[in-house]
Amino acid sequence: MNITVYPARRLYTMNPSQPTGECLAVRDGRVLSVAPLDEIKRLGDVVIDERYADKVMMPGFVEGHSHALEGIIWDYVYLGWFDKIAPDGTLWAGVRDAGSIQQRLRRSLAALPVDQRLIAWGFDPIYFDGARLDKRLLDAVSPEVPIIVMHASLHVMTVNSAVIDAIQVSEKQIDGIVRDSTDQPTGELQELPAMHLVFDHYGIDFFEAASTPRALVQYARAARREGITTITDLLNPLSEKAIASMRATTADPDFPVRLVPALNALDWEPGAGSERVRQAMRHNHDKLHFGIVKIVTDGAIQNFTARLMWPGYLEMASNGVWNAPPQVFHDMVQHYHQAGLQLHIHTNGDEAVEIILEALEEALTLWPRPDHRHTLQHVQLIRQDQLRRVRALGACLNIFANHIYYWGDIHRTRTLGFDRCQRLEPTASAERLGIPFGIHCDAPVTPLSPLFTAHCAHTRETASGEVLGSAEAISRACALEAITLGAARTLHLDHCIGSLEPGKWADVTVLDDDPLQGDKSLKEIGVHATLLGGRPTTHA
Amino acid sequence: MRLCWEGGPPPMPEPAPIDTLLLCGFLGSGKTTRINQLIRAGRLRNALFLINDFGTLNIDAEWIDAREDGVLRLNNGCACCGISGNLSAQLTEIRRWPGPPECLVLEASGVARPRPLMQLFDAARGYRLGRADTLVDLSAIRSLLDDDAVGDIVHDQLRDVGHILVSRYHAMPGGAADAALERIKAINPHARVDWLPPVAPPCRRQVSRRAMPSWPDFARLAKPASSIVSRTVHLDAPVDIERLESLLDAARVLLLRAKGMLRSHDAPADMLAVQWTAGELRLSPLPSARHQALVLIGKGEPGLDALVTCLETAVVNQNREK
Ligand SMILES: [Zn+2]
Repeated sequence: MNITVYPARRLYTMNPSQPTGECLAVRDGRVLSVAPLDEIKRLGDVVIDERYADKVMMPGFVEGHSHALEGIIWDYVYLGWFDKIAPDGTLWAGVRDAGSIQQRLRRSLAALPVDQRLIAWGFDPIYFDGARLDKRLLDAVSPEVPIIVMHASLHVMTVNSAVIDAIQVSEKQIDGIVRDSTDQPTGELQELPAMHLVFDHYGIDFFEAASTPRALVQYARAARREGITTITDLLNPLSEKAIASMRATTADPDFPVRLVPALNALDWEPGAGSERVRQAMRHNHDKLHFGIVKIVTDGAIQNFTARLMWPGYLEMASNGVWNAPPQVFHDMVQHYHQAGLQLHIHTNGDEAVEIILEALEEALTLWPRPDHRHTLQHVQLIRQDQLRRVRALGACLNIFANHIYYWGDIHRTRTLGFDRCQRLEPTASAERLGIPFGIHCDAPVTPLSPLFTAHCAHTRETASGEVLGSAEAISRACALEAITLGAARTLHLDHCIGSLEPGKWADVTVLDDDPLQGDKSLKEIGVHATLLGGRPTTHA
Repeated sequence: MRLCWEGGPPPMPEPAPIDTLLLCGFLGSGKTTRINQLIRAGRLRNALFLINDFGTLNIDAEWIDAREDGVLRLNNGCACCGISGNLSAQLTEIRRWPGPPECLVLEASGVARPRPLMQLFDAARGYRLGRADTLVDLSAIRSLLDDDAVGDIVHDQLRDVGHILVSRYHAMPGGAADAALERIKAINPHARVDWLPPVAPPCRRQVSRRAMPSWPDFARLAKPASSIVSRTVHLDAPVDIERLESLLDAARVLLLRAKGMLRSHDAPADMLAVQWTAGELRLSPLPSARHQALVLIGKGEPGLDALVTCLETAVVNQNREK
């Protein structure tokens, strides 16, 4: 058997017994040894691969919460406020005024095939104070070609006159059709009843497209570029078609990541849902891991749809929304826990956290289970007493740390206020209490980039440069653990990924610079390459 | 047939719109029971049932197969990223079927507000809103309306529709039923209210007329915001199942769940698995079990301790046959 040895400038292992090393030895896809070369040579004949000799190696990044939609959304025109990088590496600058929006749409229109409609995404009105995107602005780009701009929340779209006429918006009586003082539609369509007219007329279905092999390949490509070696699609339909597509795609030896899809529990009657996961688990292999279940309880703070405890929202009197009656979530927790599966539960607001903690307390009293690793996802507003209950239950957290950058300013001034922003994404508290935790990007909601997320957890800087809640900042080392071993623990995969220890898969992220020494901030450090099972990955 | 102006193929005639019945109502309001009634009554020809609710699907599948109608379970979309677009995709697909149904019954999710759904079917191509009903469990409606977590949704479910169908009022004292009805009328004075006939629960064990001991007032022992505690009771003799059920039901204000293994004094040779959730006791054979025990999960220690005492003194067979 061949032993390949990769010498590195420095090697961080995340193994507390041996935090750093000089050379990584790989055999059969696994870490054989982390040691000086002379020590490794005792194990047999070695082939030395010097290509990363001046680079820094780390365990491959583990993204514990993102969505395969990332692989399809870039087929459409990006109109977000922040700069973003597409899976093919193109940098899309953020657009911050009407003129830039029009300019980008015009350029895309020129490249659009005849008889097609122009679809854009990512527009976030919360950053555009006062001015609203409307049909006039889009008609100036083209009154004839249908133009559809999806807002970042995906609950609202703005369309031009071509669309308004095609679907006869003016005649329809729907609350979500926004009208001006003369009762004419402005082009803004809110929520499903109004947006359905557009989806139905043009045959648009984003989620269907997200299950295709092409979407998965793009998704993996985006992940690889950011140093990710294990990626979680945390809301998968697990339909026959989706499973077939994931099996076929991950079977390709060149597919550059391991994929962990979570069943969307709200799609399934609980008995059938757990059965479906069990069936899917029979297809598990090194690069495809079924076995986790996702429950989405509330919405998002920036959309005013997360469920908050007192005193609620700054700018909104009503509370957020439940995706199902709380009793349904409670019963689902009992069912999937009893079925022996691992739960990942979206809880943004503290009220959502509260009902899930009650459900977990009941489930664990009824059916005690050591090391269950049920994980609360996002937990942006979790309180100190709730954190202690999480620890007492032996549950894990996956914290939405990059939110501070993208919406921190909005949360301080419009949704939550100063004090609750101090505790937003409480990574330091999780660390202090010894709760296993990861941090995540929720791509395509926020960009897929573990290093940027780690940077946010460390600095807690908002987009405007303000620091929010410095008491909850964690060290660089802790942030790097959260994007590797921490995230692996929340997936119950830390026996094979997350650190570089003999016996584990040799999944590696190769960095241009040392993330723990030197003056470069984490977000400035370049990802040079990744290795999956000891093999350098390539462009798929 | 329209004339063909542009030289392309003549446009297909639009099929008749699909007549839609919308069934709304909170969890436990009886939407599924209502659908089963509609199916059995044979009142819906060539109907499609679209279920957008969660939890166990209780539709009587044989009835539907016999009529060549279908039931579709709806995906509920991604709230995390915000799209609830599966309903949209599903509606588009159904209207494009080679033989679309004449009528669609949508069982809305327990947290759905009727108004947007009514507007959706009013406006959506290929559909027509026939009727929108909200079902109400009258015995639960007042506590639901007063519930901080869901009261606003339940309110809107009553406010938006033209028909309100009321069930589970039979065991309510007259005054309580009137008060509940008044709450409903105050929210929606224009709706027509229909009283649904009682439904015989399927496969119910024979209800005994035996007198039961008077159990403690568990409501008084239940403290708000108590923590969840559990008690394990080891039983050394067979159990009077009827008394057990009566006791657990009496404690439902604080008891969340009970489960365990026991023998019934009717057939002491057989081990049974027992599962209790509010209002339902389920028994199934469990030959592998060795000893009898019952785990009780509930809120607050005083209440649970009182329950354990009752269990040990009044439910376990007194003729200690050991
Ligand atoms: Zn998500």
